[in-house]
Amino acid sequence: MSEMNGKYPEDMGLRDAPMIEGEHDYGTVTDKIGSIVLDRPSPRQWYIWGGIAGICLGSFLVSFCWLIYKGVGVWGINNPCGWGFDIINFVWWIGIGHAGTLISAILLLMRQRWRTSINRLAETMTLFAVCCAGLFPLLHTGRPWVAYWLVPYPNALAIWPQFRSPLVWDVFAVTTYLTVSALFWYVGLVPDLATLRDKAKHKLAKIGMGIMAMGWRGSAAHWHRYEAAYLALAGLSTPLVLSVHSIVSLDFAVSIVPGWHTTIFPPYFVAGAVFAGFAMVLLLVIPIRKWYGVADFVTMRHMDWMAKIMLATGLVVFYGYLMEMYYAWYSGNQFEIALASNRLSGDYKFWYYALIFCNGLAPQVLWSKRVRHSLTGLFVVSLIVSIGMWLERFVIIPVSLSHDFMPSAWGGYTPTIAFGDVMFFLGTFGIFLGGMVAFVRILPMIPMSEIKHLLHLEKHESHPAAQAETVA
Amino acid sequence: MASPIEEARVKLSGIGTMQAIGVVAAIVGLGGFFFGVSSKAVEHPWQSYLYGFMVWTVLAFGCLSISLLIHMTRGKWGYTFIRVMEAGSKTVLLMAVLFIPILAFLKDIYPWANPDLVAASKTMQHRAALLNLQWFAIRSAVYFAVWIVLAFVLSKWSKDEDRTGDVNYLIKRTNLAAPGAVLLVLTVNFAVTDWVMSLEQHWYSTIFGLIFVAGGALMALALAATYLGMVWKREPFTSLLNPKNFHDIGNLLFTLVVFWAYLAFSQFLITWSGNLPEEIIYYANRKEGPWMPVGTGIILLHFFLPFLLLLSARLKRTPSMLLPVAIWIFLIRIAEVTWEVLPSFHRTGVQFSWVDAAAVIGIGGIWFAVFGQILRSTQLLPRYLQQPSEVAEHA
Repeated sequence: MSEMNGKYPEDMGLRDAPMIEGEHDYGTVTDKIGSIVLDRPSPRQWYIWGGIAGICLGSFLVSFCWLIYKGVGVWGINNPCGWGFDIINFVWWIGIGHAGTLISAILLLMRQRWRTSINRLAETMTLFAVCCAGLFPLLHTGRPWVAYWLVPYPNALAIWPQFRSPLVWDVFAVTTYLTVSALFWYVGLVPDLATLRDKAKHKLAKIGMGIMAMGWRGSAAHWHRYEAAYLALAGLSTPLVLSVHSIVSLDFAVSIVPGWHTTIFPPYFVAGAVFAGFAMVLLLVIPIRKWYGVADFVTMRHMDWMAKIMLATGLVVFYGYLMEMYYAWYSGNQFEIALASNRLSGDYKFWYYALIFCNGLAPQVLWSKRVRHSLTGLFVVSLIVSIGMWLERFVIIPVSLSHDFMPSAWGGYTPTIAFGDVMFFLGTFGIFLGGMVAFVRILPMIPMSEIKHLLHLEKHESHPAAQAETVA
Repeated sequence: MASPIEEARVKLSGIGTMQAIGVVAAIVGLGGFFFGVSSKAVEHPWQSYLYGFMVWTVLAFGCLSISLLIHMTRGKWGYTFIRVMEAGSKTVLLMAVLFIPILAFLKDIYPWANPDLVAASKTMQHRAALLNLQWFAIRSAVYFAVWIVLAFVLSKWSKDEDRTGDVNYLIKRTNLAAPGAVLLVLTVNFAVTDWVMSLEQHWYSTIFGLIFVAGGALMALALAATYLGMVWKREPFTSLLNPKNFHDIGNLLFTLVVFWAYLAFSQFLITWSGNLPEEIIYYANRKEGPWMPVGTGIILLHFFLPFLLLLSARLKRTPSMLLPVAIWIFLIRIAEVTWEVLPSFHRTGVQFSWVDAAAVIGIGGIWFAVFGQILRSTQLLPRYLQQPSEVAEHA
């Protein structure tokens, strides 16, 4: 062994910290995570957030019914800003889902073990975020009851959707995304559901978990098929991380509206999505790990990694803002230049500067290890980023539409509040929070089977069986 | 006791051969190029020079990007070839020297350096505030300065760590590489805007810089894979490398192939859909003459072929099968840079002359000769590679 060996480990700080803290064995993992679902009473915060979710859901129901009764005129959209809160919120929610897919799929393929503790929570977040997102374009069509017209199916009138429109690509992208994410989430749950089935004392829980566990017995054949299916779904999900938000970006970029038609949009939207998604994961994980006492599994090392991904994707987003400005000037195109100056000094300039602060400047504090290792610091930055990513879509969508080519066609955008845009947006938080609140109560929020596997790996890491094979 | 890595202060005989070929190529290529210049074989010979310069500059900053990636992530997957990437990065100094003739012959190359053309175009008059000899030279100096500092400092710390065994260098490398990566993306973006995009009088694209970042990294990684594919049969490489290492490198190649295609396709789809005169010209021009088949070939051979081949786990795990794919990617990268640069000269008549070929071969020859020289003076495996098992147990 080289004499350098002794000098290496300490410096790394969290890098070599264990991914599971405390003294745990397979039994304590099941007890700790499973009991949240089976035995332990919910903490006070669970009731508070359940109540908030209920209020938001109420706001959703009222504004939804009003919208269906009156039509999309209750929203603030009008000429020239035909896309407003509805599309902003669609993009914002769907972006949030990306962190879940990245954690579950890409990090799995990259053999990043730190994903294990947070993947279930992030995947669940993805599911509810996509549900919230999907509502907006569906209702934006004005006649959601004929939304099936968006799907190409043989019909007597031989009418097909416009395949060259990215809005139709959206239908394919988002439905695929929802389907694959739901499958992935469910397949991952099966071994845990079986554990809960075996542990549950209440008959109803036993039956419910039993049905959902689909006869899982944990045999070698079961595990073999499970691993294969999980890996295959990871492979299917990976391109979705790139494709879904790229297609969302094309909703804008394939048009010729200044501020929309720019080639950097696909990678810049994808980075923004992951950026916002990790901010939301942190916003959820930081309080939940405290309330449910699962800090042994979701450690500071996880926080550090998530913060680093947020920093990296935030830099790509900031790069996108710089490019938009530089090439607006470089183009020499009067409309592009007018758009850039409108952002900097027009009616909505305050929002543009707020956006630069939230997404460009504030996340730079994540370079500091102190901030990355401070839960309060991370929570505040994540909150700022979540707001910033919403502002980004506001700046891109209505602000670009308000000043396009002809001054005579210029206008402004004002969202409606009561029974309209704002109330409906708040309402989607009801779906999201309600879903998350229900989830942490009835399903294991941390994958027990994967944690046990990780525990095994961490304990036997240095085992000689892990010897390298040599090139044949 | 000295470790096997130390004992094997690897001096590969192949490096000498590579240098010899490089020197011959440099003499033949540059000889041909200067004959072309003096005999006025083509109207604008310095355009050929810029083209040759770009092909190898993309490789140089590509090596820097892979080197930054390894230092930043402390990725043990890259420790077996990190010295090759560091050597490749250091060639940015060579490229800085080779850039000087471009400054001297701007008028032969760039439309914005031609007062008649500028007078006829409002866009070019608008851009003249930044696109003029003085600012072009200052900006280019900044790009090279950033690259040179990053390449040489990282390489120095990497070697100092070997020499002293001081772990602080490891931390320093990571702390420099992370902001270094940000700087690299920014400087490459603006460099290719200045050096390549500005060949077009009106066209612009915000994603263009990233296409070069991804392309450069892909070319450099293909070089690294080629290197490993050639040396793995010799000790200590045989005991250091296992199929999993090759699998990882194959996966990274695959990722970069897909990422490059994603960026290139994004640019195409958005430009095609918008169909605006100042933008579509870029593709309209590449539909003419030989560029249509070349472009189609790039779609098939730069994306589909490596994509389909690299799907196979068996291929990625077998060095003798990965090697030809890596060589192929390296070569097709040259074709891609050709397709990016040459059509932007808007030549009438012959699109690819022997002077172009001479410039690429000549500058490439110098590149490989210098690259070999840097490799010769380097211990090819860092001591911090340590134990064979650690290479296998990368994160």
